[in-house]
Amino acid sequence: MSTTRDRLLELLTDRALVGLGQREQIELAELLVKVQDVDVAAFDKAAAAIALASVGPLEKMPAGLAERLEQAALGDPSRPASDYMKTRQLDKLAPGLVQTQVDEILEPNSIGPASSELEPEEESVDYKKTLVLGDQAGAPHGERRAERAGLLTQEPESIPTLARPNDPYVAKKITTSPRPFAPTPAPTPLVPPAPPAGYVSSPVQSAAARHPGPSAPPAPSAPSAPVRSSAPARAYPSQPSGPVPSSYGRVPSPPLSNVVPFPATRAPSRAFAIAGWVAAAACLALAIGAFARRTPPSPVALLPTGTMPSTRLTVPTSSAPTPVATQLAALTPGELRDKLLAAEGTARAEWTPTKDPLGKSATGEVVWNKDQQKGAMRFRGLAKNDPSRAQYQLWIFDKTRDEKYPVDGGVFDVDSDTGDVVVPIRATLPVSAPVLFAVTLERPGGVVVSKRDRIVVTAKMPAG
Amino acid sequence: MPVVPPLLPRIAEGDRSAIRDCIARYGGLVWSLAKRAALNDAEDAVQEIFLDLWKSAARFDPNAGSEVTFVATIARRRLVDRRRQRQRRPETESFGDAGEATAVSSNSMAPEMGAEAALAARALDQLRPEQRQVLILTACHGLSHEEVATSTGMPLGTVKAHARRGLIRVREALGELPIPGGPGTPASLEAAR
Repeated sequence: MSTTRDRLLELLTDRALVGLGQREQIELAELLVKVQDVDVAAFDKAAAAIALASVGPLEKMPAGLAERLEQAALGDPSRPASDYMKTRQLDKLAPGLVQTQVDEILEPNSIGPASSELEPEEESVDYKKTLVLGDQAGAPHGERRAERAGLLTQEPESIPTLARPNDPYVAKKITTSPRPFAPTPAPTPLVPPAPPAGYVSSPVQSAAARHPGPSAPPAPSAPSAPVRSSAPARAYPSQPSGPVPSSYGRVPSPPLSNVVPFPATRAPSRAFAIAGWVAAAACLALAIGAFARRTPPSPVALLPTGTMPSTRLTVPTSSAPTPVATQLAALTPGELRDKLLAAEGTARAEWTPTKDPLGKSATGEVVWNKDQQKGAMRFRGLAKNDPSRAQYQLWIFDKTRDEKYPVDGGVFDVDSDTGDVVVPIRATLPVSAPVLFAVTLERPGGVVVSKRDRIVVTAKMPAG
Repeated sequence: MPVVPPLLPRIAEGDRSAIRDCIARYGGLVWSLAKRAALNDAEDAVQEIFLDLWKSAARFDPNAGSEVTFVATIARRRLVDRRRQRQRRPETESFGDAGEATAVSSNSMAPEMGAEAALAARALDQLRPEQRQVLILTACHGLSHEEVATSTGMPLGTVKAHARRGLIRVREALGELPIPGGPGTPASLEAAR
């Protein structure tokens, strides 16, 4: 189980940080069925919080872009914004159309590769999109689950339609408007599209009867579902009926006899693969439903709104002993520098200006304590910078590392007209043998790899 | 710091004036995230993000987190998606371009970024430097594991391990402390308009 859980956590972190490929999405969906006590949304939130914490000074959005955004959103002043929201929330109007984390995980247009970029053998994803996730009462419980879990679902360009008996949306992809607040067709009178060439309407019941699984429920009459006319259609009950198996937890009974059309031209092995998709996703829907019902609200959700300012920066400190680095981090830059100068093992070096005009009058020094992995810079006469246009960035050349990859020491600004500032160093990697400190001018936020075309000052550490 | 009411519920209710306010409040953040992600098509990305934001406005739950984190989550998803799609195209830009265009900085977190960001910053401080760097490069600057490995010289497996362990640590940090309902963000975000 620990291996399964470990792999699940790997996939969730990868999904939150770098996204997943389609096969990984499938694997994640399968693992989520097995491990139900994982808050999927927490990983996304953590990644977003990291981005917020490290984004640095904000740049102004180009005025023209802001105007275009407004025009795109408010293009039709006579139309209230809610119209668009209604259009987007078709799942509320169409029972069974839900947008859950299941959709998000399985939806290739969300985090994973675009459907147009899928490998040929993965093109059957459209069939996967016809998964049945609706509930018997027609309530958008998927959305409620997502909201309860704090899930920030995003909607793909094409909302997967969820087949249900008497559902006019059977096997129909509803493409949403690409522009907000643009005139869109009224959502309610949607009618099933004309079946594409090569398809004929076939009662779900008869399709299901051709392949009654061992636990397949009797399929009630239902509107037509498109199936291939060239071969016997295959259909799979995408959710079990009646009492939910104990392995699904305390999930209310899902809807009955929802059938997913299956292309008969597919090879048998492909059929099994798609069946696996459908089964895994259906189970996943149940599992997530169970998870959403069983998992108590997080402490976050339990707190009443407004009990604490959302913008506070002070956070409770743990009772555990505070590491030296944390203590130093709580100091002002000047105090940090003084502490470091008083500590053993602190090295110091004077800044040497380069030919760059920004640093031609700069003096000062850099101090670095190898044991504490902390340092501070003091500048006098360093030119003031406009953070929205450029920032200074420190680089630490470590004797033990490749010279091509100096350690990033962080970005900083000089907002003093006199250029007299003290700046703490935050090295992003351990620095065991610093030989040279260099300050460059970079784009706001800094860079990963500097072109080194604007080296402002340098400080060479004495040997030893 | 004054608490500003959230805008997304108003948008979800059809308040057109909230659209403009939302762009003004979060435009700088979204634009900065897009630029940090080293996207050549940052403007397109921003439009896509805001489009997604309008769509998702009704899903915002003030009790589950702050609005700014909600916005950042949507922005990151769209940016990750775009990067993955771009990486699958033959005309993917060279890594050199991506590396030069991306940024590393956790020094200058603005207070208006919300409680979750403050907790994340604290958690980042407690991480090993390698973990912190990998997390910032991936979460904020949108680099893939491979790109991080190339730019830092770390083995790919090490990068992945740092990313996973680090994010789990940050996630735990966010979960162990209560976060207020966080209705909205301070007006200082609007200063970035």
